Amino acid sequence: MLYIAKRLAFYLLAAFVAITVNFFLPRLTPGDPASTIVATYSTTLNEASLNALKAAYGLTNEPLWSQYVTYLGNILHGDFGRSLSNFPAPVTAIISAGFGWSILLGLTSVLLSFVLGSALGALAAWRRGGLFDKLAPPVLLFLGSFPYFFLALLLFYLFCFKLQWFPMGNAYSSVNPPPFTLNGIGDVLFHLIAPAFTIVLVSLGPWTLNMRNAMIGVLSEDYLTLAEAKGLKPRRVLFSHAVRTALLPNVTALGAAIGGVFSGQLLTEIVFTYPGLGYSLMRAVSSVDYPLMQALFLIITLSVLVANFVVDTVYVLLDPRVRTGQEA
Amino acid sequence: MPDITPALEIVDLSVGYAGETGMVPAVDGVSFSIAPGEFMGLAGESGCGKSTIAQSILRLLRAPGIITGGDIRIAGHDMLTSDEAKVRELRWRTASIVLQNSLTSLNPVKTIKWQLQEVLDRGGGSKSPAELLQMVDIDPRRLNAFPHELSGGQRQRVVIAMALALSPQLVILDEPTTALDVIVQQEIFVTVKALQQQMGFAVLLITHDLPLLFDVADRIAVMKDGKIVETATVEAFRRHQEHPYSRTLLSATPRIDFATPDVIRPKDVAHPVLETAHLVKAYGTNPLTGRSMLMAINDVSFRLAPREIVALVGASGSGKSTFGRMVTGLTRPSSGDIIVDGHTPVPVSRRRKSTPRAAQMVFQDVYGSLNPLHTIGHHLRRAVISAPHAQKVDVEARVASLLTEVGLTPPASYLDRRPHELSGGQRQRVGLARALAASPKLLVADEPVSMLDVSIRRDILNLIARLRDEQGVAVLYITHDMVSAGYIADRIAVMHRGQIVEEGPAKAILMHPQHEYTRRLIAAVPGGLGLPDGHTDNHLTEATT
Repeated sequence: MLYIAKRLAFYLLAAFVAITVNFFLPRLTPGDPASTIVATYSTTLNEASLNALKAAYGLTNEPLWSQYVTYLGNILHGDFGRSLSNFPAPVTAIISAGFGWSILLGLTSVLLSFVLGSALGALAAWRRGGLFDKLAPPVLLFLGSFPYFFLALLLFYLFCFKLQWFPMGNAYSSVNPPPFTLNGIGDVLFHLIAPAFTIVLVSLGPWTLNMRNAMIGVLSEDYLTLAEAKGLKPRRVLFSHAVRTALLPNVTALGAAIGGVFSGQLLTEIVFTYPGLGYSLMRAVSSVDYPLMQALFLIITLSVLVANFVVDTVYVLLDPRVRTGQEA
Repeated sequence: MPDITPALEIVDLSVGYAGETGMVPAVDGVSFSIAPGEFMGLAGESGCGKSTIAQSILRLLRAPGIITGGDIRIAGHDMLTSDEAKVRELRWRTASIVLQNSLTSLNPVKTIKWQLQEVLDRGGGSKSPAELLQMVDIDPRRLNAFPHELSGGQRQRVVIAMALALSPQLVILDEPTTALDVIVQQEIFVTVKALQQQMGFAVLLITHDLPLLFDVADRIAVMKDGKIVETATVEAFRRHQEHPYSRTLLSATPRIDFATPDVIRPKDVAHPVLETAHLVKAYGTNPLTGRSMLMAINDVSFRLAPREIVALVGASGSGKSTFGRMVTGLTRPSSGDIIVDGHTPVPVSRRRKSTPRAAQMVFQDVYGSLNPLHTIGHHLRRAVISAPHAQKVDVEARVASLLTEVGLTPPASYLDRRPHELSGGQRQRVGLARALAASPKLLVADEPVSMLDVSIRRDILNLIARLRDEQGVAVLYITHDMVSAGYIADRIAVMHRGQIVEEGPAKAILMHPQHEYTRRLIAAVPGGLGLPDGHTDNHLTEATT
């Protein structure tokens, strides 16, 4: 419990630092974004409208620190300002539309590649030196060396455009999000396959390789010899002893991987025009929508932090050694 | 004997390891059998094939090991011709095994209850996990403990409880106490012997420690190069060894010469080579309350005269290694003073080229303390060059003379070899040469022989004593082994829970220990010390009855 409390304190601090950097970084650049926006309208609007616009963007002459306090307060209320490209829609509305889709795609692909990669790695190590063990690691590493967007374009061209097995973008067929029925869920999953498959394919390699190496280490441990000597069935030796402990390093890697997959996912979303945060981010960048960008960066950073915290907490449940504060 | 089926019967067993150049035999036509309830000892040095036999019995041998011929029967069940499922069914019911490393024998992420239950789930066990723990003298309230929460001795007890869960006819103990200190070793064997009397299982104890077998075994088999060279009852073997190798092995164990009296050196020399005053090393100190989780060294004041060999003796966790690391500057003390040859040791990170290195370390792990990628010449050249006043010496000549000093002659033939091409004993000689490169006044030798084979331990100890005589270097010999301490040291200091509880001339301490803890250390020595004044040798049987 103390361990989790310590981790929580660490992540709260990290979140605070992220928010602070997110506030100060744009303001340190010469000619901050907000005044640039106002300047573009300054010739076309009258004094009153200009002032109203400044107020809407929170552009004041207050000292920086009091702006910072206001910003912190706004964030605590969930107020990220208004979007420029979709004026006057609040940024939160745009983000919440894409957030769910990104989480769906992200969780599906990360968990899938984690489970699949660990299983393949365990299999390769269990039959060490076999055909699968010789083939799988190099092939998966080859696939993993593709950039996300490149493999995404390739698969998009092949499966969505040429073969037309999968839909050409979006997360559902109809204009509005589908109802929560069997048909609706099926439709969503159908749209999910191609982008998720891309991410899984690229990120599978390290999972497999790490699991294989961890397994080979564990397999030479005395408790595996002992488990075998105890007359346990091979399945039990494999799952209860070998995989159970070899999985631990991969669980740690899960935290770090979520960050990497998130950035790769943004590009994949853009290629498949999947309506997640990546797609929103691209639109924000192309239309110079600073408030939206800033909020997106913050949301992405915070999501990675939350994911890492969850992984850390799960790890405590899986490895008793960290509970007492010893190293794993 | 009512049951005439032997607990274990091995006939003409041959095991080989498949290598690039064909089959390398590891076990060559070995035959022996163990009667029900018998305690058999299999003695031999590393690489003689004794552990390979242990693995073959339960058919645990993994590639590239292959059983090439012979028969193995446990309580009449053939282990070699049965199919995999049948063998699996026989494992642990007929014979169980306890492995050397207690730290890695248990799954680190499962409770010991879960691991005991896993065996009982196979059916046939009559005891509950709690009863099993009670049987090996562990508090059943510790059932939900994880392995890392137990001490090394407790973990090994858990494995023994596990080994007895299905009441097998045979228990194989493969160096079960090598990683533990003597007191824990003695306690564990007292428990094993008592349980053996109750339950009547046979034991195959595999070890390199002949004196231990004298204490616990009924019969001894000596193994060399994959063959059993001699089998005899313990009584017969003690009186007379048939094979020359058995004699070599037995005489290799250092023996303390109690006939020559202690050389009493003046206690308060003007310039001790090492002096510590109220030395303290505390770990996990709470910055608010100032309380510490662990006092590794608690107020130690100690002196070591030039040309003196002092053995610092204690069980694992007594703080003796921490003391050695502080003396050499590898660890910084929490408080107190250390003066080595007139200077306070400088931490490694802050050492400059001219800083004198009065104290040098010789490490226990001869495999880990030499970088496998570099040649012996490279290791020693680095040590010579980085020594203070190095610019004045001819490096190659110095390296050659160092190798000669430690008995690696001719030096030229060792320069281009890498550590894996040397034996353990040769490696430790390189370690000594490296330590001598800086012309230290003090050698801190932390268990320098505990990882070596018995037959070369005495040579290394003799070498250390000779270096003292020829080079005038003082030695702090850190060990848990009372016999080697008495063999080499002028003085013995006994360390217990971070404090020196007793200190004095070596033989005086061994013959007339004052402190209770020293007595326990001496009593736990397998085979006894060979004391002249009619002390009984067999301490273990004494403790059992």
